[in-house]
Amino acid sequence: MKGERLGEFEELVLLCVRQLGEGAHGSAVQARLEEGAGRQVTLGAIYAALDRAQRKSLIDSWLGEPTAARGGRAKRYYAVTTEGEAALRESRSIRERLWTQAATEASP
Amino acid sequence: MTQRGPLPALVTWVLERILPPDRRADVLGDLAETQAARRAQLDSRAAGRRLWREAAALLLWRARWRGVTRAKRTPHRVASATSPLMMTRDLLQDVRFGIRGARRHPAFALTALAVLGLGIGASTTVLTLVNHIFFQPPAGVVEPDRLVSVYRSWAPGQGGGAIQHPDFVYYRSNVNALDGLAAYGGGNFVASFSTGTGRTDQVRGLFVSDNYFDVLGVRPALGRFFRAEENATPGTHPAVVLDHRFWRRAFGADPDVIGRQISLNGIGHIVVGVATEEFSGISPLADPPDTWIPIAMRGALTRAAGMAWWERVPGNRSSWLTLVGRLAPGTTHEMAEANLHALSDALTYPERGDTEGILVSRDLLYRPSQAAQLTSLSKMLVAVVTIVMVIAAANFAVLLLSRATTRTREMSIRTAMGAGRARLVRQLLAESVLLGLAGCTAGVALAYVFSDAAATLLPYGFATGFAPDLRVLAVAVVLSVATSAAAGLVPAVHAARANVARVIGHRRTVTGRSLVRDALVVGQMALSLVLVAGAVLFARSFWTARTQELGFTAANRLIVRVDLRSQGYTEAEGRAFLPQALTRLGALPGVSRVATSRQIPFQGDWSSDLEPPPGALPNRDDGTIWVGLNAVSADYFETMGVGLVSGRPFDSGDVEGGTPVAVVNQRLAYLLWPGEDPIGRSISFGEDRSFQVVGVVRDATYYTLGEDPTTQMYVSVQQRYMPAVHFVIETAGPATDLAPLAQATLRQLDPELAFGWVTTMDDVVAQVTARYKVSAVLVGLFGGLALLLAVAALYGVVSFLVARRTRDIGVRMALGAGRGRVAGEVLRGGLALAATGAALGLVGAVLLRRFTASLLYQVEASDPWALVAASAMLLAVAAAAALVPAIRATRVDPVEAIRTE
Repeated sequence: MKGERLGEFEELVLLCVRQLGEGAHGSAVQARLEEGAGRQVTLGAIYAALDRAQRKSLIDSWLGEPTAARGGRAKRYYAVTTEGEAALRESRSIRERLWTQAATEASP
Repeated sequence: MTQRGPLPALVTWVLERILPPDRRADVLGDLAETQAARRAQLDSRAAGRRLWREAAALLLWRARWRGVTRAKRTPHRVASATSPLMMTRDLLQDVRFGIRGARRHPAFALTALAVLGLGIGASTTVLTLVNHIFFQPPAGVVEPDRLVSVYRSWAPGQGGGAIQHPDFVYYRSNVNALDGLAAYGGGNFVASFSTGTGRTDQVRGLFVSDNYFDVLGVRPALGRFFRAEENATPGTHPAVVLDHRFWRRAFGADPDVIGRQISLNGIGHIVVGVATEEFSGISPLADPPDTWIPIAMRGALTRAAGMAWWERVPGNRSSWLTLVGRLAPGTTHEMAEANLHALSDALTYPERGDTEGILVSRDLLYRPSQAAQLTSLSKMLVAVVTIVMVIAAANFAVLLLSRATTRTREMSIRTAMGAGRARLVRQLLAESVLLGLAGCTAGVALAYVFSDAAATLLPYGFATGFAPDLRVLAVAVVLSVATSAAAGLVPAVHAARANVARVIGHRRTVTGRSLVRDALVVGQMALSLVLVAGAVLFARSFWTARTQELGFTAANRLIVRVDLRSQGYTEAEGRAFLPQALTRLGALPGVSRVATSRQIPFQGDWSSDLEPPPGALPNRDDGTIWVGLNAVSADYFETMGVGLVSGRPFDSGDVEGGTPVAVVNQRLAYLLWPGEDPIGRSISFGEDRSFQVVGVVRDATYYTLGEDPTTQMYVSVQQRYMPAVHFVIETAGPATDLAPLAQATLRQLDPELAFGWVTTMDDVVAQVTARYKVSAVLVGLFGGLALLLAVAALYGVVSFLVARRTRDIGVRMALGAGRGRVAGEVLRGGLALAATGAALGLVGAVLLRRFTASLLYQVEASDPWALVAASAMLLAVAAAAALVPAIRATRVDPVEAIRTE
């Protein structure tokens, strides 16, 4: 996926989805993100990021079976696609390159 | 709030309606889960706050939602278009389209802006006037709608006269439906004023009862207002309350002014208070008072000893007060009116007429006569601008229609892309409302610029300037949106229908004629004819009033009024002063003649009844002759331009102690001595007052414009001393230029002289004709505007038809049709529309004639010449407008025309 850069928030959301694995649905992503990033995030913001990522084919989503736990409401599950994985890795490697460069230049 | 699970019912309800159907379940599920977790961690208020934030974020997300598929949106929108968020988004899109469209077609946008701007500008200007005249309660007055004004009426339902002081005292002490009844009067009182530092000036004063400020609910800014004892006995308590502006101007806002003594007409008055800044009297009309003085001081200040201003004196009446009362708590206007009328019915004294009573008015601002005039004027103006506004709207609709036909391509493409009919209609509406709002801005700007100028045309001067306020702005915005939406609906519906026709496969007619558009043009023609006919009538009416034969010369006459008695002059001093003043004024450069006169035309009357001598013709039902009187100096007739018919005018020989002489006008001479020579005859008012007629002068106008010939008898001021005089100064140049010099000259004789009134005879006449002028100017302006709009629409439509038929015309000319014939056809088409409009307009004008009649001066409202002139004007302008495209049609080159298709 050349040219498709990840936004910061998008990246965090994708990382959470990846980390959650099988159980990645909206409120779980939200809980994980709030926990990990230590800031309040709304579902609306997460959905917007997920929609965008899905439009870029970075994630997939599908509707699960209705469960009694949520008042008979189905969950929408998300999973990172291979393209998404590639984008996350690309993003990570850019960061690491920059970090290393910064480290070498800083220590003479 | 009922709670099903962790989510409030309202949140669920709202979200269920706005979320995309395929996301409803999972989003609500996620939200419920999140919320359940939060309620476990946080207290309920914090959890509640978070929930609202979630809901808001979801709304935002939904508003921006574009789905997740990369492909173009499916035409799924019909279902989602009903959600309010989608509608908002569509609206924003419509607005963006609209602005883009306006940028791309600046000529159309500018024309539309001009049309709407002029229409809304005219309406907003008139609204500003009406709002300022009628809907501005006097500042600083508490609950003005609980106040009533009381006037004297001379017959049931008629009135607006002033009330005598003893009557005021009677009503005040007996009324119980009111929480207080106050009186004020003597509004044109002017006093010389000095603070004791040597500098003198003059001030306007209003005489008020002690409870005046209490009844109005006004509080003093400094000191106090009047006490009851200051108004109990005539002339004993000289006290004065200063107007806030006057206090700043004359005393530099000195807070120590309370308790100081100032001199009014040479009498020391104690300053007891200063009114608040906002309060400057009840009347919104110009020249608010500088000072308020107890009514008990009127006699002393005007030296009106022996006049009936305080007590009821037999046979000699003086009514000078207007009453204002505040309804008692729990009392209605009706109860107060009943109470006052009952009191009036119970009031009897010998001089009181049988039909005399009172008039209780809820209008605090204006005297009944002023209110009547302003109301009929305002109604007429509102009617006129309504017509202008309808024309502007119709004009705008025609513009939109013409533009719509050039946009059929755009519309069909959008339909093909899946835009629904409702969506298209909405887009067209949004565009026209957008233009409407732009027009509103332009119109309001026009109103800001022109309101003050329009206000100067009103028959009364106002104390404060005219500008649109928030209320007017709100109405202007509503008006613009409503008008532009209504106008936009026409082409929108039209376009939607056209689309259907296209789908079915019909082609529209070749000519491009549209019944709707023709009807709109005809309607504009009809309405503008109504206005133009009105304008012609009002112009004739004003012209008639303005050129009315007055019987005296108004141009270049300065008038300066001096009340010597109120300045403290004795009769002997006054008699000595007048000739000196006349000599000094007469010697000024630029002055041709000077005279004094007690009476000035149109400013009320001084009259007496006369038992006619044998052989004379009475002019009254009771057999007496009513004679208007005036006391004038020797050169009066020449100075005023009143022609001498026979005999001589007054001269220096007519002095005190000599034979009392009189000059009569032709009318009086005719009534007293029909067919005989009046010179040398005598007129007698009882035993001791007899005058010998020495001259006859021409009839003139004395009281109202266009009055029937009225009797007038002049006496010499030398023989019949009058302390209140008007100097009439005939000048070589403009009379106003001489005003400062004339006043300075009189102050050389007496440095403390106060001038009651300084004006020109032209202004006096202009004041009388002002009510006809305002109708003529404003209706003329609006009529011209209406005609311009209507004719522009006609021109547009005819041009459009010619452009549409270029090929048709080309073919016909190739087949041998002459240029004249082609041009004639186009011209006829245009004129047919105009003539239909004119015919309808004539009917309208005739139907409206009752409405205009009261505003006209000596012109019939159904004056056939006005209607003929207006129709001729309309048709001539319409012919000119249609001629341009007609000539263009003859220039069509057949070869070119056929090739372009």
